[in-house]
Amino acid sequence: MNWQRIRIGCAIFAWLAILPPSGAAGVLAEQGGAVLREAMRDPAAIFSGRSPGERAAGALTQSKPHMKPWQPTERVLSPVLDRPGTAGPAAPGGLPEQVASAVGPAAAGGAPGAGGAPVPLPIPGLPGGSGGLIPPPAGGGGGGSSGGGGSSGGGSSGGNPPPPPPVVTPVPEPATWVMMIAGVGVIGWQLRRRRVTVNATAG
Amino acid sequence: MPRKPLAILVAALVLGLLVLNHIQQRRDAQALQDGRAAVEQLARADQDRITYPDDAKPMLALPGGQTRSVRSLIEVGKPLRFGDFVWDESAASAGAVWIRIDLTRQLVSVFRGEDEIGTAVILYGAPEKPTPKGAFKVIAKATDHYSRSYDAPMPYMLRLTDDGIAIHASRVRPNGATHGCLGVPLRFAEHLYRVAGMGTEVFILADPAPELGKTA
Repeated sequence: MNWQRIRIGCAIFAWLAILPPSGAAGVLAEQGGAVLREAMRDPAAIFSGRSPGERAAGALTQSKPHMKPWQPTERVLSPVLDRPGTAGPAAPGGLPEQVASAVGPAAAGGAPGAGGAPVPLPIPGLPGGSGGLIPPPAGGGGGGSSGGGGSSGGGSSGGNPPPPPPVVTPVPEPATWVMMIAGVGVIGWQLRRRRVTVNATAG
Repeated sequence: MPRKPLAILVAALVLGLLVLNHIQQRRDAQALQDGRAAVEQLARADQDRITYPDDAKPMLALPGGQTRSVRSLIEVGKPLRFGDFVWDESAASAGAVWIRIDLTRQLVSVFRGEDEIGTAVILYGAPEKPTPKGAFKVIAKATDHYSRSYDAPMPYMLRLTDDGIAIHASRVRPNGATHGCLGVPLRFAEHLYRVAGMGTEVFILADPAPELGKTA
């Protein structure tokens, strides 16, 4: 009986002694499996993990610098100089024929009474105005356009353009050169002749 | 009288348990060996890389019904910020370069063969000028492209379509969008331009990701 008890005790002891290592091995294997499973993550989850997130609505499309609106860097002036004042003196002569029918005899008679002075003509919206006197309706000048002052802005679109003034070129013409050289020459010749004359009388 | 058979029964039970324990121990040792092998395999690989076992490679579904198996992915470990990128060609073996662009996650992944060699955050087309989805190939490339349509430089341009959709360097920032192109960080575009050539396959997809949050 004692022998059997000892055998059973030894067996139980062996059982208990063997068990813990097997349990530890199981835990380690479990850890390895966990690492393995961790390594075998779904690629979609990996991509989601590194993603900054889905883009919110209302994203701006200003990834590139804005194009600046085109603006000229230099201005080219018209070769025709606009000098409205030149149309003034010619106005009184042409006035009666053009506006006599529209204005009437009273206004037409009053115009010569002012003599050579410029006559203000408060006639808005008269079609076919001539040059600086009566501005065209598009110019928005309104009533009082003074003929003498000649400050009509709309001369370019409506009536006849003023005659171009004489163009003064920066480089003189050959004839001008010749005349200038000849003049200087004559002056020099006269000075030299007078000096010679003085020397002759002194001598 | 019944004591002797009882003792024999107990002895047999203990013996059986011992045999079972021995079998279990063998199995545990095998599992431990497998686990250690797996851990060693992981340790061999770069810390910044997730390498799949050869018998468990995941397949990536791509536009056009194609699938590509993946052996390793770059482990970024944290969400990339706008303008960030990772480029690591160390683990890549031979193979053709292909590009996977995920519009939903705002990510591009560059693969060589079965290994990922680069990833970055991208900008893509605004809703009124969306980026087309599908399978494309690089049809033109230029280092110093200048867009006449948008009056803007587009360095390291890889054109995908005839109407001008391209991958190019851009200022990648939050809440930004393009007119249909795909903007990547400049340094990443440089790397990408170096490895990608004419005919390089580009897959643009919008993979649904319900777990993903919105960018602020």
